[in-house]
Amino acid sequence: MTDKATALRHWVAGLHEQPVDIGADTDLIRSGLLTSLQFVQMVIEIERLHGRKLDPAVITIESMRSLNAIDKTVFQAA
Amino acid sequence: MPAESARVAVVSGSSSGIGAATAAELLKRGYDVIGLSRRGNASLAADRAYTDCRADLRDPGVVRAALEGAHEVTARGVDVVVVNAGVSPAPHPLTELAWPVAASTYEDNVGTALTLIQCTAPLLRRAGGGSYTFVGASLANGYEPDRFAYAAAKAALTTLMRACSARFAGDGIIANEVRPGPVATPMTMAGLDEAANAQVLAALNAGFGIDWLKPAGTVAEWITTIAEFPANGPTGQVFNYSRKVL
Repeated sequence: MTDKATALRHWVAGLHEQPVDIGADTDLIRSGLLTSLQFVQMVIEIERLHGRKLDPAVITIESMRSLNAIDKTVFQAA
Repeated sequence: MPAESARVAVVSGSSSGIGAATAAELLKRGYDVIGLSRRGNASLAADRAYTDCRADLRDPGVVRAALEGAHEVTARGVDVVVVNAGVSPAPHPLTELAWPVAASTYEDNVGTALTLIQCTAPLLRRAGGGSYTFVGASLANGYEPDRFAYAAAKAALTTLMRACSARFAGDGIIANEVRPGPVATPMTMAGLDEAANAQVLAALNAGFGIDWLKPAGTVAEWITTIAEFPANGPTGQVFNYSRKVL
């Protein structure tokens, strides 16, 4: 994973008071790691880490479902 | 000065959210719009066809004075009234809900709507008819006990809508209600631009199984379309855009 994806992992972990296990392919939604409101905040955080606005076409549930998916479709695709 | 032939709309609660989006949609469709709200809307006020009236809708005298202040716009009458203003208190356990909270919620939602109707009915009649369109809520079905105060007020609004459909049937005035279901607010979507919003909403709906969360602009299009039903069109109806709560 890229440094940006690792930074995103820390950001997601920081949403929780207790330590959480977030694998590269962990489903961020089904696992309950993100609420719907936090999902919106995560998209904003991805844009911040990415350094620019995301192409709206990239924002699909599948491309945002795991750190690996985000890394491949956003950070590595830059 | 508005064009003499322009249709005229009054929207309550136009400072933000669905009210602001509906006022913007009506402007787009060529209406002169009078917005009533406590905070006003500087963005909409930049449009010459928008009249920004700051008014506390709980005070009938203030609302009447605000509309009289816009007499140049309403000289021919008013064609569309969107009853949108309302307040939704935080959820509260039914068994601990204090009556003053429920009573205040009723006043904020139903009292303001009644005031708006009483102040605008003569203007709709002056135009030869028109429409009342109420912004309702699926919660009015009453199955969420912690939202009782708001749900009860919204249920009363449905009754008020039907009463209007009967009371004004002979005046060419129709009354209907839109229940939009979940709507994305500026608060929840803050920080994202409009192009990204639609994609994020689609992802949220798919990923979290949300009941068709949609932007306020989409709801505004429905409201405006229903507000433009003809005088012999549907009246006394609830149009439910929710997908899970019917």
